[in-house]
Amino acid sequence: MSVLIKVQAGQIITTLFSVFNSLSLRFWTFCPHPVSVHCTPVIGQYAGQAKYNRLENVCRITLTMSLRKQTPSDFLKQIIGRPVVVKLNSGVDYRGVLACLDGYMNIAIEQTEEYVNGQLKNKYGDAFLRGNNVLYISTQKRKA
Amino acid sequence: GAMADEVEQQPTTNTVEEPLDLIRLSLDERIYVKMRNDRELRGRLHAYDQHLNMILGDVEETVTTVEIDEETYEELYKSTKRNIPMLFVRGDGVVLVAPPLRVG
Repeated sequence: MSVLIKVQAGQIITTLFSVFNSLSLRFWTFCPHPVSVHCTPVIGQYAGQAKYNRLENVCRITLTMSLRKQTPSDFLKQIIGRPVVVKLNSGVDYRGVLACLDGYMNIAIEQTEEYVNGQLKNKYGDAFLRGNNVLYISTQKRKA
Repeated sequence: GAMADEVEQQPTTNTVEEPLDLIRLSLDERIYVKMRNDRELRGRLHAYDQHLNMILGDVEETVTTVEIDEETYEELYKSTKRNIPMLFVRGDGVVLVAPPLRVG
């Protein structure tokens, strides 16, 4: 997949690709003004080129995305140690720090809080969740 | 599952531990198990496997039900407990495993 984005020099643009991590690309090689391209989220790797046209005062950026085969596994390795939200098929929510997980989505969480209907019901020091019950694992964005 | 086929098998315990490795640390300890159908177990973990089949000893099972009064729509929570000296738990009913909850 390739995307052609036409940008004014110095302009910041945001482009959505698909779900996993956020990626910031900064092109300065061909452009006298740094142009920041923020892509949320990423499914593959990006190769980018930027060309600044002085006459038009325009920076043309081409991003080419190549799909990586093991993205789900890589995602799972990347989020270890981060605060996560795990939602089960039953609708119950668990929030805590991801200690580890495996390919079946069995999960070990530390400092777990259990939310039922949005209400905090229980707290566990350590919790192990059986993978077949897991609907999703998501990272929590913490405001610093 | 399909994803499991893609994940490489870890050699024995040098790198990141699996969740099941951490359950191993609870062997012979008392644990709390949340099951499907609003059931909870508290007992001593004697054995387990990758399916989370477990052998629990000295178990207390709690079954929680909600009765809704048809007139007032009040929710009445009831829990029924029973004690079982030795129990085989089939893994597919297990939702969560944790050290026993502390009160308060």
